[in-house]
Amino acid sequence: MRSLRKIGLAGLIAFVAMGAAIRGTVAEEAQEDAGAADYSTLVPRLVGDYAVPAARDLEARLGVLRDRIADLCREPGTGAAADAAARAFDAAFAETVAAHGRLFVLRFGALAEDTRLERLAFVPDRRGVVRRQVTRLLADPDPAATDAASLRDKSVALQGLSALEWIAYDADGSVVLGDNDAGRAFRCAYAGAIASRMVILAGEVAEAYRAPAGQTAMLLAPGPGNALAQDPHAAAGFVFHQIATSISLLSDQVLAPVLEEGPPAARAARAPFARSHHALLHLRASLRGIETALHTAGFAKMDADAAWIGDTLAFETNNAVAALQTLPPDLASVLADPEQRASLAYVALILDGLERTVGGELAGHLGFQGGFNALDGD
Amino acid sequence: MPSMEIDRRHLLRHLLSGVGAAGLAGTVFGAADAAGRDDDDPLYVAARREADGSHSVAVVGLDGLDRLVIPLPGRGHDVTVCRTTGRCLAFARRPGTFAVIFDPLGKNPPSAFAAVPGRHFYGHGAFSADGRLAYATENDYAALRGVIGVYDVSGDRPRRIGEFDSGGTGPHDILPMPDGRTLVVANGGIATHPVTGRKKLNLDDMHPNIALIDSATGDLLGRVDGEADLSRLSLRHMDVGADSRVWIGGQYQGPTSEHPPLMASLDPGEGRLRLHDIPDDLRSGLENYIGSVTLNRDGSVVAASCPRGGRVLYFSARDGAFLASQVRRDACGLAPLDASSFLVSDGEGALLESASPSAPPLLVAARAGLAWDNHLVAVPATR
Repeated sequence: MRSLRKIGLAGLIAFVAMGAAIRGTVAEEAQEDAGAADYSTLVPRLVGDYAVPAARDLEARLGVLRDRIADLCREPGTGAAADAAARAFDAAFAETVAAHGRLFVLRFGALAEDTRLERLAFVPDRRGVVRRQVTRLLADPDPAATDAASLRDKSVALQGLSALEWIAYDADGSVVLGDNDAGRAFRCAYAGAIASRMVILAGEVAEAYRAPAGQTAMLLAPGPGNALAQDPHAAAGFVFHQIATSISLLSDQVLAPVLEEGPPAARAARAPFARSHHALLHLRASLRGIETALHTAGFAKMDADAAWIGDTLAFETNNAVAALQTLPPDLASVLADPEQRASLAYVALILDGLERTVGGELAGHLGFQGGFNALDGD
Repeated sequence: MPSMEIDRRHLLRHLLSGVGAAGLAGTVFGAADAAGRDDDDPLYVAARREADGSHSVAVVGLDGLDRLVIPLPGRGHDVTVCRTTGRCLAFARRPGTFAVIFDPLGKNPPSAFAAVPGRHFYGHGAFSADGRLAYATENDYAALRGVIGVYDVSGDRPRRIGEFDSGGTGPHDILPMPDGRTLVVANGGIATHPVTGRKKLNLDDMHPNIALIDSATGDLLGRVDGEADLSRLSLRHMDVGADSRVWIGGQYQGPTSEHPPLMASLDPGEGRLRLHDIPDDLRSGLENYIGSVTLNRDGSVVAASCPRGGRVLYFSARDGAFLASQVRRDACGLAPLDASSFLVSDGEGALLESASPSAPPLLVAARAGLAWDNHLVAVPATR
């Protein structure tokens, strides 16, 4: 019997202990400073105009990916048709990775529940959980992993794009999913199950944003008694911090570990989707996603003095994306080339600046300073 | 005035009947396999806020995935782990009145209990060396007196068997000393009353101290007061080295324009607090607040988190010299990771590996929607 043990203390839940969740004076002061801007529009715009379309886009691209897996696995494994099928799979995988990058930066609402974010892709993975678990699965194939329904009950690390990448690509970035070998049938069936499961999951995410329940609903309807947000400003601050955290994640989980001194191949492997040579694509899509999400919601427009930050965010995002587009897709080769590595370091500098500009200055203008522990620690 | 006794009866009814009977009937073990963990994965335990705003105490691996989740009726604070039995004891954040004792692997059902009438918890506790007793920092709020509640946790249900004086006001952290018998208590010096919530009632008359107490008799073995000119430096969170040196993180309640040292240490043999300062350029950015203090496993470095300042500070455990600091927004939980490194948790659901004080901590897991609370605790490997 494996791990998660969720213990239902029904009686415990029913009682809200005295003294819990008192908003601190820092939060109150921040809110006063935020002035009279209408923050009630931010979360609805973010959900309706960004989250739902981004989730639907991922769902659609996963549908294509599922079909390309089927095509690839129908081919005999060698020859021109197989090569074309492998290229088509790689193109569909790349599109899916980019769509994931645009969506996962939201980190709130439907994505933040039921480990959906981890089920879509298991990143970061500094402990090599995906590699270990997929290797074990391939060594001892479990039919439950080849069915989209039963795959849902297996480890989340086995369910998403990270696991699919591991079985579909070789260490040099070439597609091996359709290769003729003893494990082909299981790998193909497992890959198909992953794609099918992810189509369902992305659809769940889109629907949970569209017809909100759970955290999304709580953030769309702030008010007294709402455990996450007692007013629209708090709801906007909550989602803002989730997106701002994504800037830190890209900096911490991708660029900082990759740019550490060490063997290029080993350092490159630390980045999500480096095995398929789509790490930089994912980074570009994520950066663009952060900028678009913040712009769509209209955060920088909430304070006239902060309008310049919206322009700066767009400008710097363009700079970072342009720099990344000049680099070849193989991250290890980028790290091995001093000039290309310098370009990546330049992107890291931009991200550092964006962390300060968004997480510091824009948050300050909007009265979003502080966090769970900072506002009300003990 | 709200009726504390009605609240308490309500709590007791839900906690004790619910957990003792009906609640356990609904307990689900092994309901899902989200993690697929390896048996040798190190585990950590902490209180947290869930995506729906509810609170829980959770055991997780370094992959960030849950091994055990226990819903709580309100915000939790610290979790103490028994080195003998491996059991964990989680407390409500002050002025909460619930506590839950549980096995981190879920082998046995958890057992919840409430503070007795006239007392609330301060969020921290400690086990006796043999694991049969537990000690909790509590507030005798009618008398504004700090007490240590003593609980027999050897049976199915924890039972309060007595209390003794904490040696001061507002006892917060409590830890066993290496001798296995002495308890060290950080009396923060701040008086509060549940009727006024977390409002500080005596800022002009604070007397924080570190008290050493004989756990067998309740005798006050010694008490070291804070610096006379720093009476508003509330001594809050601690860790103790194998050499019995106590490391203390403070929270300064004085004017925000003042930035005194927040870190102190106590060598019980020396009998006085030593303050450990940090570089001038860092002082004003910490908002006079340390949230958590932890030694690494080899005892060479002590880390102190400053969530309001968005920094983690590191000091040499040899002489208290400041080593370096890291920037990390809302980072507060600290636990030893291996001999020299730390695991850091933050209010955005991240777990980070801090391998070197002078290098940025690296992300090992990032759970969206979760907020890790004040403290992070390593579950002993011998489980």
